[in-house]
Amino acid sequence: MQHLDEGTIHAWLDGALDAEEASRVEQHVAGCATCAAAVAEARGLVAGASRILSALDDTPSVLAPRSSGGGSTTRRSSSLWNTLRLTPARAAAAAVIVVAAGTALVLRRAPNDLEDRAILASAKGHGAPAVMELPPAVDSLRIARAPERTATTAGGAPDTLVVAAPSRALGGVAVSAGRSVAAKTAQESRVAADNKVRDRVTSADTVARSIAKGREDSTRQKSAVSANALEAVVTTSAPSAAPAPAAVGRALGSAFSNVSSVGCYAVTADSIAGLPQRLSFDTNRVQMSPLMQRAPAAPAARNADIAMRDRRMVSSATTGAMTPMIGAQWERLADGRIRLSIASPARSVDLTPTSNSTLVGSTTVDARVIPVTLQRIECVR
Amino acid sequence: LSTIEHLFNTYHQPLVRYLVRRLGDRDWAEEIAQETFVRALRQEQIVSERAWLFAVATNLVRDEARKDARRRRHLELLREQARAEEAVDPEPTSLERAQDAAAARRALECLSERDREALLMREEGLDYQEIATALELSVGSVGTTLARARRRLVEAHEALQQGKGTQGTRGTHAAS
Repeated sequence: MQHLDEGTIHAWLDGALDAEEASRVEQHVAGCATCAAAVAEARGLVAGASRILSALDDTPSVLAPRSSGGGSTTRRSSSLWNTLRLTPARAAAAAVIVVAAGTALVLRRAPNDLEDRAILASAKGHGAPAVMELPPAVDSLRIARAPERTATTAGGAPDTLVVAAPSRALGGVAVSAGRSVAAKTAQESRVAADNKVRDRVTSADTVARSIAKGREDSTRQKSAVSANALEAVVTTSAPSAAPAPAAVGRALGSAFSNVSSVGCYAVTADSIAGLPQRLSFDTNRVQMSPLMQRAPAAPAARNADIAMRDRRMVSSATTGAMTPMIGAQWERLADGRIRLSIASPARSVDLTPTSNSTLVGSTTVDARVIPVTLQRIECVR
Repeated sequence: LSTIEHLFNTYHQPLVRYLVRRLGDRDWAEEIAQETFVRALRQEQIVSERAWLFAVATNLVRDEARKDARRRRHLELLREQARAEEAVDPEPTSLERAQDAAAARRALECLSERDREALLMREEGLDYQEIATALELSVGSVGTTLARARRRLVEAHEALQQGKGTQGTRGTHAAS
């Protein structure tokens, strides 16, 4: 028998030869040093190629900050949402659709104010919920019923409003319908806050199941069939300490002169917390969600508010330069702590300064309390 | 409908990984994967599911790539290089990973399109028959194709590593 050709050796190693051929190769290799060496080399090539290619799995999306950890591909849940282009921006759009189409959050007085303050966030492809962060100033929420949709409210713990849309109904349509629809519906819906009402959020933990009718292209609808539920979570910060005057958020914002927390930090936390490894509290970056920019025209006060909010953005980095985190913000609480809110994964961390360069706090993940330490580092941009 | 669900659950992940590796762009990869499954929905009957899906995805990539191949490839490379090289004060393992990815991408670009696709499909577990079907090759030539692809990839990668030398500085970082 002639020496084995390389293709046959690889086919053999790949188990692609039929039994008869395989045993012929095996016999030959057993008695032929040249071919045994070629097989050994081929094994090395097979393993080496696999190893090289697996390095490609570490391909991040452009904006989504990757949490630390291994191969991002395998960590992504195998959901149709992923396939249906659930990129951060799109998820943000979808979140707006869910919120806007399914419910109208109406707060007494001061229409549009909530819109001003809501920070639109996004979900990564991990099926993490999209989040709208509301400031402490938002004291009460009411879910209004929208035509064609149902909304149920339930009393309970005061912190969270969950708006969930079963994807079977929303489907890929919401996602692919994308920004234009999102912007439109956002405009249509009236979302307002009353920043003067002092009462706490009493109707918290409100779950609204919104069933939106997909109105697009039936093909896309079909493809949505097994999609996971898209959840949009609207969180209002629990009023901390004593009855915080609702205006406190704004007051803090406008009186925000203490910039000592601004800067870059190395984050120490269990990777389960999903926090970036480095982040920075920014005051000088103006980052506005394009969706928010398309919100209804605003009075002057509103613009001031937006600017204020934007100065408290958070950037993050796992590698390379800091990138603004969509939907993340930080704020100084009345008691001097810093609240860091991250949209994806949805985390809220209250941090206590323990020295000039250290902030210590914790966050809760699946009922586990994860300590979080931020150590100031040199900012390199 | 249950068929598409089955198809999706079974093949989405490997297909996306194949595309991410092929394209170096997750968003783009997921767009192609989506389009592939949309086409699968329209398809009355699919005989060799995995080969069909990978073939459709591959053709979609080729169609798009034809349009703006050079520009996109260039941008991908720039982006990966930038990620690897601009990392100042980096978290060490991440920097290494970014560099690995950039090197792997460059090595992969040294392969012919067909070799590259065959290899990436094989890595996702397609057997020789499926690869042959997807790429319209003869089954007999798949072994040779893969052998050539693996050798080129490994050799190109080694050459790149040697050309680069070692990169020394490592920042400190605290995340666990």
